Amino acid sequence: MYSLYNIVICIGTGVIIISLVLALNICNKKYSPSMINSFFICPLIALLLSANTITHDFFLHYNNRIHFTIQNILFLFDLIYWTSFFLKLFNAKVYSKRIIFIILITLLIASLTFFVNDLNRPNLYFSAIFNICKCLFCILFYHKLFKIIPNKIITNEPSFWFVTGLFFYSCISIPFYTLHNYIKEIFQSSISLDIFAISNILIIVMHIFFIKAYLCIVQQRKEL
Amino acid sequence: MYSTTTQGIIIFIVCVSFLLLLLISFIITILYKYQQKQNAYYRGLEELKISYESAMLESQLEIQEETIQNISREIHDNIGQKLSLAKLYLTTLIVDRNSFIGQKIENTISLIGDSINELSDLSRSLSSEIVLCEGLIKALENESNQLQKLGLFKIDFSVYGDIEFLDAKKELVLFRIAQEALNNIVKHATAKNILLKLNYNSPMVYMDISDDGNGFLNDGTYKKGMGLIHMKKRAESINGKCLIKSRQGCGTTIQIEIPFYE
Repeated sequence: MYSLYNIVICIGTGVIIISLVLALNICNKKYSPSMINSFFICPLIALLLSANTITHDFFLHYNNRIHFTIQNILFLFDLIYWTSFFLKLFNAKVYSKRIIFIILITLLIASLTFFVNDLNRPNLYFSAIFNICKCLFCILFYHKLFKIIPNKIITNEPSFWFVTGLFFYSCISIPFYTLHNYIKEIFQSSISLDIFAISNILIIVMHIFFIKAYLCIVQQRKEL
Repeated sequence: MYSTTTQGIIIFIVCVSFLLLLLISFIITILYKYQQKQNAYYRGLEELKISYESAMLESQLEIQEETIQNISREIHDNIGQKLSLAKLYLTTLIVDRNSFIGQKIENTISLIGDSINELSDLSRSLSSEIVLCEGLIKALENESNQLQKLGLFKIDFSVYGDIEFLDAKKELVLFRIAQEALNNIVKHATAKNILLKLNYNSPMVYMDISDDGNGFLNDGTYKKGMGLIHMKKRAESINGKCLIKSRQGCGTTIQIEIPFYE
């Protein structure tokens, strides 16, 4: 059945694959900034998330709990990756301390949520918490951006596009992940699927921003 | 009514459009704010550069002025004194004034006397004392008289408007510019007539120095070695303007415009 949700999932997977290929091409190149060196991990996790959704929704239809657990674990890895990304990006003690503080608080809240969670009603609360944490990282980036000497052309800065893509996705996806079960309950299944397709659109937009960031890196290299 | 699928698609399209709009406005806001910050930063940098340049210029002019004062003092107190002493020694020599040696001594005394007078004029001209004590007009009058004495030019010095005493620094700068301009005329212009005009027209004072000499091609090639840059810099150091108009064979006019109070 070619529902909107399925189409978005397929397009999203395509965009993620393109992003992964470009990331692999740019990673570990001499001219790439240090924060990009392992950036392929991010689209790789996104691809695994997409594979998990496709396998669950279209083929195996396995238990929701397994599906959500895999998703939450992948989101945890994603968060760990983004933490290392921001630590490399900021490269300043003050910001590193703040990032470590935020990640510790997030992990603490996530563990508390794990204990109070009803295991019979699987949800995406962890993903929502992790995305809040990523949002805070992005806010720190914007804070720093407006604090340092503004002598850069911001639209040519790959870090700006990486962070803007992540910020947009993380911010907007929080209500979708938090209200996942609620939306499923109050809307008919086809409408709720269309609503969830929006969160997948966010992932597509984020990866388009990543692609723009890769292009900026290539552009910067050409200028050198 | 719409079917469930259509409803879902409508919700999807509306939400996605709204979110994309949100994203675009967010990016535009960030870029706009950053651009504003960048503009303010570059403006600040430019202001810093200008203030640095003006401080540099001011200290340069101060050093120049101090050097001039030192030379003037040295001429007056040291060389002048020694020459006077030499003249005194020669005057007190007991020789027959009509003899060959006596004539030679008389000539030497006369030469030393002339040198003392010329050095005294030079010292007075270099010294800022006349400007500070007697004012700009008196100093310019004095300068014109000195040039007139050479007998090479006809100098017309005139003052218009309600005379007002300017800040000592401004008067000194105007005087130095006039000196530089007159010096250029003597050295390069081969002029017959010089017009020196001072016009007090509150809140500005205008000084025009024009000659009917050779003039020069006003294409930037004159810039080196003629002190015109110095004149401009001096005028700028007291928030004034210096305009130089010249055409080959048609003389030169230098117009200075200085505010009274800024």
